[in-house]
Amino acid sequence: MTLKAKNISKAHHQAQNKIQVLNQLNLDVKAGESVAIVGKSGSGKSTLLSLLSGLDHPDSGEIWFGDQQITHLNETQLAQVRANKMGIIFQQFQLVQTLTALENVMLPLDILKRHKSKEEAIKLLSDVGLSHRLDHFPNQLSGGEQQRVAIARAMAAKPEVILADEPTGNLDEETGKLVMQMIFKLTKLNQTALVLVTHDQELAQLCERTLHLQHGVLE
Amino acid sequence: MKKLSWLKRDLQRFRTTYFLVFFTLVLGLSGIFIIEQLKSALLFSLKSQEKELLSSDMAMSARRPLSENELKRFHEKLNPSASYRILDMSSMLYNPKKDESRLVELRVIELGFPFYGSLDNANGPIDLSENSDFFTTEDCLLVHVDTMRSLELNQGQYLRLGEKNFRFCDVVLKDSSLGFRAFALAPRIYLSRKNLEGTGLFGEGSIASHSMHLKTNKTIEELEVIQKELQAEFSDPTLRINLPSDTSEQVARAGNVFSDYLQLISLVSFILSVVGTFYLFRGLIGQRLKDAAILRALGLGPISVQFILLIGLFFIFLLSIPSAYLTSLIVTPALLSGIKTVFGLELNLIKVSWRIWSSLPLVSLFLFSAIMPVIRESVKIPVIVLIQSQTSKQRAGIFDYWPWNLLAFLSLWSLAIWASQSWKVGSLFIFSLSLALIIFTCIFYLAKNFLISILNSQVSLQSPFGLELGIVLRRLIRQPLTTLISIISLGLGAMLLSLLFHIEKSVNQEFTIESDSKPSLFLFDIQDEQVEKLKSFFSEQKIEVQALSPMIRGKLMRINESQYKADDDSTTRFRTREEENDSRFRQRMMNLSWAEGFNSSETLVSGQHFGESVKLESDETAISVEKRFASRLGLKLSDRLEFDVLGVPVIGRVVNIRSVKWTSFRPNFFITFAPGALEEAPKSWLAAIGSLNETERVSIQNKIQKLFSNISVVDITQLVERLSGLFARLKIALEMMAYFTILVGFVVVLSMTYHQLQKREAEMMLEKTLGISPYRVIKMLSFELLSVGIVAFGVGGICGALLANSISVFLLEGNAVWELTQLFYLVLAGLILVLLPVGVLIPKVLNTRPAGLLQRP
Repeated sequence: MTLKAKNISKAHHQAQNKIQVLNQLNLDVKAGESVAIVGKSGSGKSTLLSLLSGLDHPDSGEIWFGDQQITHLNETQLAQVRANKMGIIFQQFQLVQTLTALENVMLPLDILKRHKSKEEAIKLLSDVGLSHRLDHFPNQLSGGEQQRVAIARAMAAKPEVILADEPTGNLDEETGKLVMQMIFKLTKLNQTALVLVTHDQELAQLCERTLHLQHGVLE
Repeated sequence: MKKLSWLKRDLQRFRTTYFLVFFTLVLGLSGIFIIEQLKSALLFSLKSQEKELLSSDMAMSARRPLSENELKRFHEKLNPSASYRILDMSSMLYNPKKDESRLVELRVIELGFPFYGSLDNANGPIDLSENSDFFTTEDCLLVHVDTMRSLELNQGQYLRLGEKNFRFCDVVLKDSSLGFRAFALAPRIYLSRKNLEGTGLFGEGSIASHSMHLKTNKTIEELEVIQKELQAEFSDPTLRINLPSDTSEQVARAGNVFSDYLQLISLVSFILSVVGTFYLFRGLIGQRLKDAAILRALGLGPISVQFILLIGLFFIFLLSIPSAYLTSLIVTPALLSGIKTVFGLELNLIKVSWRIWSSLPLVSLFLFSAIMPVIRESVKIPVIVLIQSQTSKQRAGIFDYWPWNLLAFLSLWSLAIWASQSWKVGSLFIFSLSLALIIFTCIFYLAKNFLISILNSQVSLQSPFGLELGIVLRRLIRQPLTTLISIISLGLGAMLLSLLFHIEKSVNQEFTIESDSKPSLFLFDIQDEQVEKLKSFFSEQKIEVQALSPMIRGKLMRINESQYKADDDSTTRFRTREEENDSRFRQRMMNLSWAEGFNSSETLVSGQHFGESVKLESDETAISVEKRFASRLGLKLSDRLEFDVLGVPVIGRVVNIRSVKWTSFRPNFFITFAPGALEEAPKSWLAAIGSLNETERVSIQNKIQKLFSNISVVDITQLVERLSGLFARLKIALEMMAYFTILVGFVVVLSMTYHQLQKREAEMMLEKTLGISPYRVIKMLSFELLSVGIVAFGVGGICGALLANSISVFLLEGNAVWELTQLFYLVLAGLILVLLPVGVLIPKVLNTRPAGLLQRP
């Protein structure tokens, strides 16, 4: 077992209204497994992902990463977990704009003080077909290329799980497919678990398991 | 209506930034209002001192009776609310008790005297009203304490003046009209005009100084114009039209120095807030570029988009003006009350002059012309670039929109001239700012290229500076325009702060009077043949003689080959302060002197001391010229000057320029000859004696009177104390204003830094998401601000010091002050200041979870 959510609940408050987004939700993601979480817009997919990655904290419930409960970790401890065990892929790519493609991929390795980060990053970028774009800045890359850099960055530290939030949401169909192929290829190659949040049923079917998020619970 | 609702939404959405802009503007503008009011109050206080010396708003005087026509024209021009005449003459005063007579200065006054100031006895102002003893009794005579001491008189005793006996009815301990002019310093007795009758002292052919003093509501500027007009109307050179500012060199000099420094402080405060506001305006526009792009994509025309971008700023600007004014109305009275309580300096609240309001169109012009390139850019960059970009795409360079930039530059220049009221100071200021801007840009690009060559060759982000600094440096050099604008904005702030620190130091240096060097007695009318005897007397009495100088009246006739032209510009045209100062110097006959070298209050500025080998023609003598005087008359080393000394030409060549510490209160001369040329000219001597206590002063006065009866001895301790006390209090007030402006500057810098951090919030969250611990994020923020701060405050501090000294030396004729320790503290304070917002953000960085990145559209 790599990632486990136990009875997690999360509500958002809008003015006077309380919107219960997640309600006693449970989830198990095993090592190397790929899980797709699908649901309508506003169903709470991204909220779930932000809780799993420790970017937000649940109102109640527990999230375990291996034998470590991350729910009550402080920000420094969470940063360590994210740096060592998680890779996150965002819909909006979220590359550091002032770093080149190569430096963006080097960054997670340098956070962990790995030697030869440059060599490893070059290899990763070659794996996603961007060896010719190493010194380009994010704003000099197309959307697809930026997402491939984001994938390389997420995979760089060889995490135990990749959390991907609508990774093709900003890409055209063809590029989206290409990007997903890469994600699946790399996660399989590295035995990395994948939690894919998407509203695309076709994409979800490529995962080993598909869960529907509805009324705050996974079905 | 739609646009107004857009404004409402805009204000809500960017409320923090709008608040910062509003806060900076209110702070800056209220700072300007407050400083202008303080400045007016301080100058008014100084002018009051000058008025007390003259005792009226304007006086006309001559060593002859004033003609009816002169008096008529004087009254017509001034339309006075009150007037009185004063007659000053020398007279023998007979003391029957000792059976001896002494020459004294008799001041004959009329009801109403003085309009300003007072004659004080031990209990305060002496009653000089219509029903007072002085005006109702036939034999009342007031005697100044110096005269009382030198003649060993007792209050109540009878004295004979001319053919009439008088009762010494009161002692004048303080006469506010006693200044540092030789005549004004003479021991006095006071008599009413009515009581003069019967003395037989005043008749046809009597030599006396007749003056008419008027009180009027006219402003100083109006009076200056009237003074010029009257001087032009009456060609008689013996007729003097005096304003309060003509009465005391020290107070006038204090007024000039204060005015200069106050204008500088005002200028700095002004430019600081304008630069700060520009920075925040620009940041706000940058934040809203994506919105602008979306509006364009939805079909809104470029003019409407620009209007929407500007309307919020315009609204905030308009709102800040009354807010700043209201703030100043609350703060200024409290500040004046504080100054009075703490320093005992009473300042009157003066309402904000129209001058301040007249600057607002220029401020608006500057701000909006400086912002327009960014606004214009927002409608030129392709919509898709703005929408897809995650950062603001501001590419507007200085040359892309040069007409707007030129307009901004010209309006800032005009503002600087306006604020300093001097095109020289304003221009030097703007020139220095521009130069600093170029220096900042050059340093930044040099550092950038150097860092690029290092960073690009590294095998990891960690080497060679560590991960945090590595990322920070990459960010800084890869957003050159943003970084450069931050450095320039903070750097200019630092430069202005450094300028203020140096101004404060200069003020301190200029106005500090060493207590052991203050003179106690002035002696004048010393005749040639008395000099040696007097020296022996001083030696016997073990008296410290601070100065013993000959004084010769001379008229400057030629400078090199040109005829010297005294100022005869009597037109009423507007004159800058520089022109006014020039004019004051060019109207004077000169007191010349000779000396073998400098006294302790003089310092060599350039050239050589007397006695060092200097090439001179056979008819020339070496001369030394005071720095300010040389500057006003355009005199330089090696210039040949020709004087007329009672019809005899005397020629000198300038061999050195010297500065004189004018607060030394010692006799000093604009022109000093080396020994050899003036010895034979008719002259008198004057001396200054220092470090005497009250008993010693009385004793020495009496001894000198006995041994040298013609020599006038005046105790100037009280006057020196009065003036040095005034300077000390004004210095403190001025320093307070400088510190107040420094505080304003620090707050402006703080809000600029805070705004910079606000823009970095999203990136901080991304860094945390990627697994960078909050402490490392804080470290990165600190490194980023420190890198910018070190360059900005380091270079800015040095530039400020250079500017301060340039202004001080070249324009204000002061001395250079290099305060390296203070500069170090400024940089340190600056760095702490730029780090403060990081401290504010620490809890946020530590505790906020970056979930927003996943929900970000």
